[in-house]
Parts: sequence; structure tokens; C-alpha cells
Amino acid sequence: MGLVLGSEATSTQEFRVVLHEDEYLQLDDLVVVNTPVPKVGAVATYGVVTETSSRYEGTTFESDTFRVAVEGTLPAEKSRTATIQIVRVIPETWIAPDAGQAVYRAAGTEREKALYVDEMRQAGRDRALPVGLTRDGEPVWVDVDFFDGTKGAHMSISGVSGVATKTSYALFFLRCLTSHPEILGPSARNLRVLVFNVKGEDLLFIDKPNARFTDDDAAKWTRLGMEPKPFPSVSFWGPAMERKDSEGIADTGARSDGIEAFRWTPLEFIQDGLLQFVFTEPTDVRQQLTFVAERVLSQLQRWACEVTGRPGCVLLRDPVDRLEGPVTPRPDDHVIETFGDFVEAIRSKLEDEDDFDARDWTGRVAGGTVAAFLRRLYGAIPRIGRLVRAGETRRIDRMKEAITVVDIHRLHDAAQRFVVGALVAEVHREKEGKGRFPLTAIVLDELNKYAPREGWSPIADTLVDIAQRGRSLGILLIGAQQSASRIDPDVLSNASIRVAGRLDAAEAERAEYGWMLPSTKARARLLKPGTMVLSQPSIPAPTVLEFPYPPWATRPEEEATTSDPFEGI
Amino acid sequence: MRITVEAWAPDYGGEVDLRGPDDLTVERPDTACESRPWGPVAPEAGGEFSARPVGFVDGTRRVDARLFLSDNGSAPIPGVAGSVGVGAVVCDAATPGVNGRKGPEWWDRKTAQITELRLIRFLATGGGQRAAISAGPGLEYQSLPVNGQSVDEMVSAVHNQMRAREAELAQDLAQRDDALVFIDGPLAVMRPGATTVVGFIKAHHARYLEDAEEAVLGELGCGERTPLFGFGEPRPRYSWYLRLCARDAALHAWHGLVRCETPVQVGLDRAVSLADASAAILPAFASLPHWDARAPQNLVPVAGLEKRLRHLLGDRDLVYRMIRSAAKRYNGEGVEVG
Repeated sequence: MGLVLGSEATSTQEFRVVLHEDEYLQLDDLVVVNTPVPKVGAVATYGVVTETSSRYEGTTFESDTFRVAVEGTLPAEKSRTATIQIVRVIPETWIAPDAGQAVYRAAGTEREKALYVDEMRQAGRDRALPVGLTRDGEPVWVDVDFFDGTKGAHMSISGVSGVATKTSYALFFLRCLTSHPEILGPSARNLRVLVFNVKGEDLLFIDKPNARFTDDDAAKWTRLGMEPKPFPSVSFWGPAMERKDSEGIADTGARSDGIEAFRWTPLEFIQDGLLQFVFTEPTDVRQQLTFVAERVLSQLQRWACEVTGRPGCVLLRDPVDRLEGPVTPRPDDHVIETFGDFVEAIRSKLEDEDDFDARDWTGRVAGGTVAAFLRRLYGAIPRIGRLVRAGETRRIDRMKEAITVVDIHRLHDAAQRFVVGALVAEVHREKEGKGRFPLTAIVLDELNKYAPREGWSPIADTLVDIAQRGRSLGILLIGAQQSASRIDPDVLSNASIRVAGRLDAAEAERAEYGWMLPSTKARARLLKPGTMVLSQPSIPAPTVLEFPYPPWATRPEEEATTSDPFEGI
Repeated sequence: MRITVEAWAPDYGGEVDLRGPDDLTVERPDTACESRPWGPVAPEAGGEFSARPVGFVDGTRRVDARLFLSDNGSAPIPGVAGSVGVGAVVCDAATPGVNGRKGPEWWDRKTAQITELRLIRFLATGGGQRAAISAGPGLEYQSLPVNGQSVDEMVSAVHNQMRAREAELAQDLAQRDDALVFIDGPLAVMRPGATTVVGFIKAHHARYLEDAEEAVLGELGCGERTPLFGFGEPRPRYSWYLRLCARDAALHAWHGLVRCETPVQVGLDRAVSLADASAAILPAFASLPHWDARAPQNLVPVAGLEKRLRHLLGDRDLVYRMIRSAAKRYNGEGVEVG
């Protein structure tokens, strides 16, 4: 490519290359320099291009450019240089590369060494998972040990909404995970993924081929060792329709077939302790509402009993007065069929002034707090109510397929938090005390809603626990957010793999992006969709990668129709 | 009486530095050779050189070290290790005129390229002695015997080498590229053949014209020249003055003047067209006061070339150190052999 620039000092962190006139280097290119070191031998220095520049040598005035380039009065030579950030030295003799040494483009095994792939493949274990391509179309790898919990876990994806392609990258990463069982090893077995579709309907077609997928795109997938195909094993779930006579029909937009409706029965609501996920706003803690909710929940769990012949329904009866098992309702019993019934039943217990029982239900909180609690419950009826109804169980069955997509984009914010809280807690409960395998991955966009930097909520609490102990629990969190600075620091700092798409300029300057080089930060403002910056513990410098266009559809019009819908008419 | 300040930086001497009556050329120049009335000539654009490339040749020299040769306690013979660099810049042809090189559109590209760079190092030694020394790779000083004994003579021997090589290069360039070649400084002895080489003299150390004729120098506008005048035995030359920049009321009347010359052998017609071309073309190459300490006479391509040549001579201190250690080595070997 050129020579190590000798007119300024090289260092063990950075050096510059003066380029030969027939060659070029672009950002993110990988290079290698061999320096003969006395008593050590050849030392190979690997680096990545972080900046390139050009100038007329010997010109001092800015107007000289015109004299050289246009007027043709001043003779000057054009010099082109590239700045290289050193990423690796083999053998580990930390010396700066010698001035004047030839610089080569790192290709083949040299390139793999620059990206530490040889270390990821040590001792017969191939842990190098291809997760994208560099600008020159060569693969970029991630050390799976740092995702599957062996040495680290979790991925955090940041970037401006719309152009950062956070969800697309999360899905692409999942596809990489599921396409390479030979690299994942035991982690691949029965891997279950829970994906929340928070915005739009992009994730509701990932099992359908994409009509706009081209052969060029396919070649990139092949380059990564993957077959360009939609996700083979996906189940889709949408919230059940609100009306009782639409039972079993999912409330979604464009997709109607192959999507199942979900909701919880009042019985499941109590058994799973879902009441706490009705109170997920940061102010709820300050107002002691979560305390009341816990209290009420434990009372509910004591009082609730199944109703004979009415699946999913419950009625509240004093545990002193009854035996185990389903009961037959008496005429004055309120059978709880809907969330509204629930709220009524709870109100009757809390507002029962004469009944000394009320204290058992509320603890000794002030009357105002109880009133606030009830107000919130009433307020939740139109928002969350549709998710709780008696009948056959319609829980989300995460074991059905490898990937479970839960569509919550049409739900109110509070209901979204309710569903996320309920499902994440369910996963957490299941995995608690069961060992790592099989692994479960959770993909959650807008993580800042669920684990914000400020305040406490039951969801944030669970997410922080997953972030901290997920490695041993076998729960891997792939969180995406617009700005990492608005996420609970515990969740963020436990993510071994960090990815960023285009970032807001002010956001990129924050400490949360300290893992980026200054040059990468400057570029993060300009990244185009499909280009991400990746940081992983195995490589000391961030890698910029591109990921190929997906072979699955991301909206209904992309869906490739395999048969003529008017056939037979 | 008016007082004006020298336009060149003080380190460089002056544009006009007439060295007393001795320098007044005794020979009466032939001011009638062009047979036109004595007065400013404003050449019309065009001419036979407007489509030809323009070359500039310049050289630089440096005394790297002063040495002495001595043999068994005899009186030391002085020597000078000097480096000479000569080079050439070739610029694309362009429309004549001050703004000719800017082209009809501002982005019209012309180029200026250094096409030749020659570097030679000499060890000039007095008393006709021959001695060469190699102080390292690229630092081979070849023998240059000089008959005199003074350091000044050695230095001027090196200087003459530079002049000779400049002339050689200029003639090569004129013949090879069919270019109009300007050589920095008065013309040295030229081989016959090349007829497009013009000597370009930046500073005025001598007066060639009578007072009445000289008066016209102050009247020259930018890109205007005097008629030709012939002088000089044994190397007869045609010469003319021209002004590179607009007259500046704040400076003296001779500011921005250069004198050009070409051998008489080129013939009068060629000499006239060289004079016209130089007056039309050179102002576009003139430097600006903030850009160069010897503006406008130190032309932009020449300044660029000179910078490169000086750079090529190598770091002065390093070269000096290399010569010292080479001398030590040389003497050490001498002892061993003896």
C-alpha cells in the first residue's frame, strides 16, 4: 500500500502511512506492517485505518492550491496518507512500527489475525461467529463466548430511530446465531428467542421471503456462510381482540394468518402475580402504589379460587371458609371474568370500611394512597383490560417455535409495559435455578422505556437482574435504544457486545460511547442505514461493519407471493 | 525627493544594488538594433510561443564544509565541499497575459511539474590538487581541482559548476520539449543550437543604458518591455527590461523590473519574439509580496523549485557531521596503510 510515514514519529498506538500513487486505503481497512526488531525478530503490527488525508507537499499558503492545481505555476507533489490505529502486535512486543517499513493490506489469515479470529478459534473451539461484512465485503466476526454467557453476555444496540436500523441488526444477528449451530455448540440446542415487536409491523413477516431481495444480497449472505432464507421457525402472537365474540383473533394490522392471539385468564393473572406490572410508572413507587399492589396480590393469591366449570375464572373467598380445589359459586359471589371484574372485586375489599379485613388488604397505608391505587386500577381497565379475560388459556407458548414474536405495537404504553414485564418475568422465573441451557434470548427495542436510568419499576428490577446474572441464568438480552445514556447503567455496563448505528451528535459525545475512537464517534453521525459500529471485548478497537439486506420481508409489500391469489377465479 | 522602502526582504540584498561607477558598462550598448523608437513596447498577445510549454531552470549551491589538505606538516591547502542542485520546472502553455494562467474558467487546469532534478557534490581543492571523499550514501564528493588558494576561488569554482549545469539543462529542455526556457541568472557560455533560452536577471547590479534611455524604465507598465539592446563581448547578447507587476506609486520607479538576455546567435527575429513572449508570459508567474521575500522577481515556479532543491541537498548539520566522520575514517585508514 505504501510506507510507514517517517517524517513524524510513530507510536505504539498510532502511525501514518504514506500511500503509493497506485494504491488506496479507505476507512476501516485493515493493514499489517512487519518490523524487524533486534533480538526479537519480525514483529507484525496490525491496524485499522481511522482517517485518510491528502495535501500538496511544500505548499505554505492556502492559495498555493490554485497555483498548483489550476494555474500551473507552482510545482508541488501531492501526498496521500492514512492514519492507522494499532489493534494488535504479534508477538506481543510493544514497539512502534519502524518508519519506512512497507505497509500491506491485511488479507486472508493476516486479516483474521488483525481481527483476533485466531484467538477465537483456539484449542479446537471455533467461537468466531460472522456477524457482518466490512466495506470490502469481507466478514467480521464476534466472539460468541462473549454473547452466550461463557465469558460475557448481552448486546446493547444504540442509534437514532429510523436510520440506525437497530432492530434489523438485532434480527440479522439472531439469524447469524441460528444459522451457525456448529459455532454455537451446546448453546444452539433448543435456543429460544423472545422478540417484542414494539414499533410498526416490521417483525411480523420475518418468516416470509422478501421480494426485493437480489442475487447481490444473496452473495453477501453466502460470503457469511449463511443460506439467505427467512426465519424457519417463528410463532407470532398478537393481543386478543377486545370483544368477547372475537375470541381468539389477534389484533394486528397487516398480518392476519399465522398469528395467534394471546391474553391471560384472571387465574393466570393472579398465579403469575401480574398485578405488579400494572404499576410500572416511576411515580408509582414514590406513591407507595407498588407496595399496596404487592399486598393486594398476596391477598388475592390467598383468596382466589377456581370456579367449577368456568375455566380461567376466579372468585374471591376467605381461605378460612373453603377447601382446596375449585368451588361452585354462591349467588352472592362475584365471579371474576374480566379485568373490570377484578378491579370491582378489589375495590369491594379495599373500601369495605366496616370490615376489618380491609387492613389486611392495604397494609396500614393512608386512605389517600388506597384511593390513588384504585384510581390507577380503574384507569388501567381500558388500557390493560383486554389482556385479561376468562376462557381457554391463551398464554404465549414460547416453546412452540425457536423464535416467538410478540406484537405489542398497537397497545397503549402501559399495556406494552405490562406484556413485557409479564413475559420477561416469566422467562426469569422459568430459568431461575435451572442452569444455563437451553439459552433464551430476549430482543427488546426501546429498552429505555423498560429500564430507564432514573426510577424503579418491577420491570427494570427484573431487567437489571437479568443483566447482572443473565450469564449464569442463560438469559441473553439484546436491548436496543435511541440513546444509551437513558438506560439503567447496570443494564448497559453488563452488555459485553455493543453496537451503534447512526448517533445523534450530542449523544455520541457522552461517556456511554467511550468505547468508540474519536474518529468513529465523528463518523457515527454519518453512518448510513445498514452500517453499524461493533465493539466486543476480544478486539480492542471498534469495528465498522455492514450487514446485508434481509431475505425476509419487513413489511407486507415486500412479501414475495409464491402463488397467484386470483388463481381459480 | 521621495523616500521609498526596498520591496525585497533585507536579507536578500536589493532589487537595485548598483555597485558604483565601476560597474557602469563602458561599452555603449546598441539600442537601435530593433530599429524601433526607444519607448515602452507592449507586445500583443499570441506570438510563436503562446502554445509552447514554458520551462524554468534554477540551481542552488551550498558550502557543506571547508576542509584542508595537508601532507607531512606542509602548509594546509584549502578545500570546499559544496553541493549543487539544479532542476527544471515545465509549465503547460497558457494564454499570455497577467491572468493568462487562470484560464477562461477558473477551474481550467494547467500543470507545473518538476521534470528534472540533478544533484552533484564537489570537493573543490586548491593548488590543482585532486581529492574526492565519500561521506555516505548520496554524499559522494567528486574531485574539482582549482588552481587558486583562496576559499572564495573554491566557492566560485563550485558556483561555476552550477552555472554550467544550469545552462546544460536549459538547453536540453529547450531542445527536447521545444519549450521557452527561462534560466535564473545571466547566461553562461551556451552550446550553439538551442535558440529559445532566455536569461532572467532578478536584481540590477549594473547600468547598461544612458540616463535618457534609462528614463523609459520608469514608464514601463505591467507586461511591457523596452526595445532590445545589444552588448557584451566576448559573448554578445540581446537584452531587454520588462516589468512584472503594475507600477506602485509607493515604491521606486524600478520596482518589479527584470532584465532578460539571449545570445546574439539566435538572430534578431527570434530575439524579438523571445522578448515579446517573455513580457507577455512572465507577469503571470510573478510572485506576490506576502508570498515571497523577493517578490515579484522571484517567480513562483522558481521559488517552488528552489525549495525542493534546498530540501534535496540534505540536512546541513547532518551532512556536516557525516563529512567530519568521513574525514576521520579517511585519515585513520591512511595511518594504517602508512
